[in-house]
Amino acid sequence: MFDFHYAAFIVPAFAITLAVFIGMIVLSLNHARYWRRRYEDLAARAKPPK
Amino acid sequence: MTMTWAPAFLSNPERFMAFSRWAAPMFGVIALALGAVGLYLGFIAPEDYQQGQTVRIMFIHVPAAQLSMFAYACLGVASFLSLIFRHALADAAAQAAAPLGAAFTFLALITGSLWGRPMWGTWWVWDGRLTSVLVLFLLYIAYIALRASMDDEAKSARAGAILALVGVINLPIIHYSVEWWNTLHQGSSIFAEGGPAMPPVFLIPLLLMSLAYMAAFGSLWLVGIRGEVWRRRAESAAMRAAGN
Repeated sequence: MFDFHYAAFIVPAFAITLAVFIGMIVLSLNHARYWRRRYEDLAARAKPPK
Repeated sequence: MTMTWAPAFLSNPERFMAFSRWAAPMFGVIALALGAVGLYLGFIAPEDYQQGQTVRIMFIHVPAAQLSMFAYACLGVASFLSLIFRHALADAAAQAAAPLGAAFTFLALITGSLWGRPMWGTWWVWDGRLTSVLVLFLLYIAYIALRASMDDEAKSARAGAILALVGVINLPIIHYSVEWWNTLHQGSSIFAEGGPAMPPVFLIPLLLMSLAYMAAFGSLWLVGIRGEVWRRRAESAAMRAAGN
């Protein structure tokens, strides 16, 4: 079924791809969330007290 | 000057934020679904008569290589719009495309190397295709470094756009490198003359994976642009607060 002779090349290729995708997803979401919260904090502080 | 064609639809940041709020997760779900089916079909496909099981690396290498160029084309178009129309959203789109493009180019280089070692007998060779893709990776890094090195947003946008547009010349070089020079890298299999040069059992999962990568890029790009819009709003708010 699976030729383990080539597993040393196939497994790292898929593992690195998965790791890079996870990295892209986490970094993109964290960047967007961080700046959204930062903006909301600053906007809330800028509002005059009622 | 006004934008009178397709990008005008999204040139309003409010409209873009409303659109991307539902479009980003939708593209993410499409990417997951297509990727799951593509990987399943890719792993149940028979091994190649010459390449054996290593042919499975094709299903992650080729889409990464396609996206490395597509992301740069997006970076180029966004940079052009930013330079000509000086639109902040186009610049945000360019800035968000660069790290994603760098990641896809890194994946294309690494998976290509891991595929090349058992098939060519070497991890790397300085031939036209591999070298031009390495240049593409360096262009992305240079763009990211240039943007990070300048505090003035307008100057940074202009300098980045010029660098990105100069780098666009590398895209046809990458594409035609396998025809212009004698390279170890094989020629085009999908867009070959006379139709795709591979059987449907490999072509279908490859196309599904290409679409999955494209949808993933679309989703992450929209998230990245949203992050840039929030960052610019936050920095404007901080400047206003500092001025009060």
